Amino acid sequence: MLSSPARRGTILIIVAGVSALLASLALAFLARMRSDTEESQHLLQYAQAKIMLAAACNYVQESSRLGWDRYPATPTVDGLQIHDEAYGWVDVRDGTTGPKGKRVSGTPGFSGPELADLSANKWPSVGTHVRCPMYRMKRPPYAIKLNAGHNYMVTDNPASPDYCWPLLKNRDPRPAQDVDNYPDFAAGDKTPVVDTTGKAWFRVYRDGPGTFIVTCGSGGSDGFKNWDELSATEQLQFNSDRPFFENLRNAEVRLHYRIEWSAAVTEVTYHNLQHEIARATEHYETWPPNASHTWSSSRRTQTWMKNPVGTIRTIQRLIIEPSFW
Amino acid sequence: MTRTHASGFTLIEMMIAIALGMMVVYTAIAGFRVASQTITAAKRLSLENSLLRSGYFEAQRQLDFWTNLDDPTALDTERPLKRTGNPADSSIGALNSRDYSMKRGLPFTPMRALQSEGVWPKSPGVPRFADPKTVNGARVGTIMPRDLSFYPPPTSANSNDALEADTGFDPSYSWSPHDPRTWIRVDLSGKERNWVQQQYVRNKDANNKDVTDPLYPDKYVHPDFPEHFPLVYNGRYILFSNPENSGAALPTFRIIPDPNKSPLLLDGAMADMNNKMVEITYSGYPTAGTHTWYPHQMSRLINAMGYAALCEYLPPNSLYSWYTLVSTRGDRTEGAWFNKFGMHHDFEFCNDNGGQKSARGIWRQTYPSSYGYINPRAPNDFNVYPAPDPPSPVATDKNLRQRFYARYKSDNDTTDPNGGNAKQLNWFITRTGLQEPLMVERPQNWPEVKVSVARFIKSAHHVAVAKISRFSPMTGELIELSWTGLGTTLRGARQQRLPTTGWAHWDNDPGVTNDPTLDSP
Repeated sequence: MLSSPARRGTILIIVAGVSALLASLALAFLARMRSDTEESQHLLQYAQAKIMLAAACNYVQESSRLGWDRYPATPTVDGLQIHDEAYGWVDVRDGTTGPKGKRVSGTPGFSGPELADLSANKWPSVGTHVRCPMYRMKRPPYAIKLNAGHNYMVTDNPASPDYCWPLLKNRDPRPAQDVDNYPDFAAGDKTPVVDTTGKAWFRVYRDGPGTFIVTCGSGGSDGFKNWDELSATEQLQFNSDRPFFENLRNAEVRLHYRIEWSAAVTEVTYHNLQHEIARATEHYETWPPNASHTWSSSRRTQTWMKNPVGTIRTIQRLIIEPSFW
Repeated sequence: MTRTHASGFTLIEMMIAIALGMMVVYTAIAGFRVASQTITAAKRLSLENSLLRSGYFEAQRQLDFWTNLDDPTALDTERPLKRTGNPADSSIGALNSRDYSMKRGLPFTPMRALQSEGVWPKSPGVPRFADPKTVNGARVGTIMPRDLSFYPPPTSANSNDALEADTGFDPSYSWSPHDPRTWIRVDLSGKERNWVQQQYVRNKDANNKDVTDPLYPDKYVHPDFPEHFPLVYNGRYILFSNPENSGAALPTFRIIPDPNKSPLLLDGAMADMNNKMVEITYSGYPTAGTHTWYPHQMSRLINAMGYAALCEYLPPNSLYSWYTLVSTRGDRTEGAWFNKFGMHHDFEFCNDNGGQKSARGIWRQTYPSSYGYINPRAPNDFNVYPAPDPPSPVATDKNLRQRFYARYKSDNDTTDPNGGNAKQLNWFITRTGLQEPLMVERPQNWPEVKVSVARFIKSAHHVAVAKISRFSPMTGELIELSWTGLGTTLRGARQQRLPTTGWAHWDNDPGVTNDPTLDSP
């Protein structure tokens, strides 16, 4: 007999003990890693939500002037829709609630074409919201190539008839992707890139003519406030599964802010114009946007501060979730 | 013969068994040690990362709630930025001698306190809030662009109208772009002949002699300006804001170009220029009256919260100047230093870039300098430019306010006697972005994490730079993470705070009565 039962039992206990010890260490390690991952995930979501604050502010600024079609119907010319430019959430011409289109000559007051039905219970009327789930498109509308130099000058072939001629043979900028026609270029490809959906969203509630409640979210609810808000069609997006949606919602980071937009766009420093008065050209011709601040005749350009879409005057993180957002 | 079998191990068996056993035990111990070390390292890394995460969330909290500058849950004695200044102390930002008797506030001083001190009077008879509306069940429009019909109609052409006299701060007012009071009426193209510039560059005639102006023989002709222009062309600024002339028609101003370009001009040269001043008379909105609302708002915002706050509360296209009757010199007031937003770089708001004592917008004010919110726990050496070395040990309350429009110079000033721009910048960064420990106490072997959020205005942008640093006492490793954060602005932070102690809650449910805030009258 090579070993007694007692000896076998001792070995078993030792092996089991060491294994248990190693297993407990491994478990502790895994538990800590999981805890770290969860905390990191929360941090990631928080960071994404804060990025949405910047996105929402950009949205409010840009849509104060851009992105509107004429209401109730957008005219077309040669098959292309004519997009209008607005004059601010608070119309800079008369202080009324915008966005409104440009003034029509001969029309009394500032009653230009309507860009939206501001009396209706839909965005962008005061007291309504817009929901903006964010994702990356395969090709955004009007996407252009980021590289420059589509009309480079031939300098390496003296025999070329184009040698050293600054010819503009190619369109510049160029479409991001060679498309057959302009509508394709204008429409882009809005198909979401894989793994970029369900990450983050923002939602803007128009609290007043120039004030907004911005809710920034990171998670898969796509900015729906609760299940009751979803229409039957929208519920399909979540497999018509209320618990599933609520799980997504409960796992989200949601931050609420109140912001105020102002039409103020730039600063007015007298001296920046001072040296242009005696010149024959306009200030912007004399000192274009890329003019530098050099000294000789104090060359300056106001366009350093050019900001055509207004300013976010104030941001307030709300301590409690507002009733309406 | 019976053989007896021995029931044991041979020596070799024993040696092999012991050797194998030792290997097994060694392997087990080594495995355990490695596992243990791994756990220890993982624990430490986890701790470090956890502290970094905590630092990140603390920085985000500061970005959204400004708690590094003012903790609303603390006692007032622990909230230095909530105090009002000493009225007898001129260094807290007095604008002129008339204001010395007036108390001043800091970025978190309640408007209510300032109102009782007369810093921010409420005009009687002017309703303070627009009537809120209810749309789709929600209360909207508590910050509305105020329609001018909101105010009592003008009774005369002078500035005693309620509309002009409504100088108390109104948190529901949004400086709407259509309100003519929000705009300084300035003809930016109205300029004087650049007489001063002619001192530097002179046109030469064929004999290499300076060409003088035919009308002003003692002035030289600039090669860029050979034509003749009057010294003042449409006035330097056609401002009609005049807070010290309420109720009267705007008087004729005598305008001089660059009135304080150089101290040299204050003697004989200035006397000569005075003879060539051009008189202008204002007539305009409402009707030959004096526009007082804008300068009142500006001056009282400065008194209420200081210069950095002024830049935040005013729209970004504000022009920081106004006329007064104190001086007939147009864009400046009394005394050698006291342009309303004067030039003296140790004292006043306007930076000295370009050497002109002229009205400026926010970009011009903040591209060679910066206005910051300095952490109240930072070293109290507020003599910013030139920065004292060693820092002056000024630590009295009376100087607290001035520290909030500290600046550095970022242009090409190479003549700084104290070491140049880097020193100024370092001073500024360390005072606005004072790194403070995440934990007051910690085990000595724990990493030390510090957090800061520096807030300042640079090139017209309101910047908040968050920084987390983690120092490991075990390895000496220092990691820093910084980013420019977007979050609550000062005005938003003031709306988050009760005038007393604690957080103010806001909701848009019409059934909820919202808490008063630091901006509540």
